[in-house]
Amino acid sequence: MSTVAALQLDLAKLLPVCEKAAPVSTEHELVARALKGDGRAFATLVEPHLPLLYRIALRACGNRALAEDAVQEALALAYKRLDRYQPGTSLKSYLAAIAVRKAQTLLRSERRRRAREHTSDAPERIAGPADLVSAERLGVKVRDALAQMPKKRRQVAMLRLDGGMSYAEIAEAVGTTEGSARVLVHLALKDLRERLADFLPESEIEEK
Amino acid sequence: MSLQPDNRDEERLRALFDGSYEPPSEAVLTRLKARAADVPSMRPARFWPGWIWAPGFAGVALAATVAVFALTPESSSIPKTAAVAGVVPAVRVATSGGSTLQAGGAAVEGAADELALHDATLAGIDTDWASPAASDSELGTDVFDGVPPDADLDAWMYATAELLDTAYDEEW
Repeated sequence: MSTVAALQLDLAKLLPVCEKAAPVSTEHELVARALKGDGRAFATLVEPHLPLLYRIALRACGNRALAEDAVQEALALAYKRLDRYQPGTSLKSYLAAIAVRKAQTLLRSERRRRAREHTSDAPERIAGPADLVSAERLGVKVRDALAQMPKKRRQVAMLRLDGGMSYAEIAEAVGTTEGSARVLVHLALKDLRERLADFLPESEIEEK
Repeated sequence: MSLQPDNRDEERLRALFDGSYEPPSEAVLTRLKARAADVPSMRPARFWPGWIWAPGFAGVALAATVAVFALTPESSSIPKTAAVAGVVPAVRVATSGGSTLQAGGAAVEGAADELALHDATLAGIDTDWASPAASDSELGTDVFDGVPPDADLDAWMYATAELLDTAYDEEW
């Protein structure tokens, strides 16, 4: 009986170690299988991060169908460079870094498209039901504000506010130190606050 | 516990970002996962292996190229005539089949000899006629060798009087 109890104690000690080691080894295995061309393994690997990739893509282009295409393009790029990814480091940062770079291109093309529509002789579009949805209208304003920001600030703003990433993760994604990431986020938020001042809820300081 | 101004701004901006975003439906996520599974099969097979683009391999390749050039004897040290002589027998062997081809081989040999002579000229070997005086005589340049006698001059004047359109006066 005492032997069984001792074994149980040993198992109880080992269990947390196994739980910690398991994700890394699983990720390692999934990466290896994906590199051999196993699509299911790659899908399993990226599945937890698909909402983040979709959110960043949708933020950049504002169109659901385009966002889905953009996610697939980002995943194709991520797969192409998968041999450079070190299992055990942040896959979220790795994928988010690719997504924000992809978003950069999308935002630029979206901005050009909007500028073209603005300068064309076509009659002004009558507001449809979609325009009346406040979330969508707000989305357009946020996208405009982001498009006008410098590249690095825009990236960190999306990673922080859309991705909910920590400073360390942002630093890894944009290839800088944590201190620099902190400064960049501060500047990006300040910039955004000024650009979106009309849409932000009243703060306590302003009320006073 | 009150938030710092920066944190408060961040919270407000985060609320704004969350409010302007509609999360994807289950159908969208399933579709995205299916598209993710297709990604490995979309990628074309690579012709070159991955390690060929590694910087280390580039360094090794460069070092090997430099070593090959450094160890190979210079091509300019081989005499040109020797190179031509090497070509001629080869042509002779190749053209030994027929008379027409033999004539062609002779022409090539002649050209080779001419080339060898030209090289020797440039090198200044056995070229007596290459001196300035010799070349003048070869080209027939007048050489001043004394005053001609009066009788010769008179005869020349008489002969060319019509050409010069002047009357020849014996007394003059």
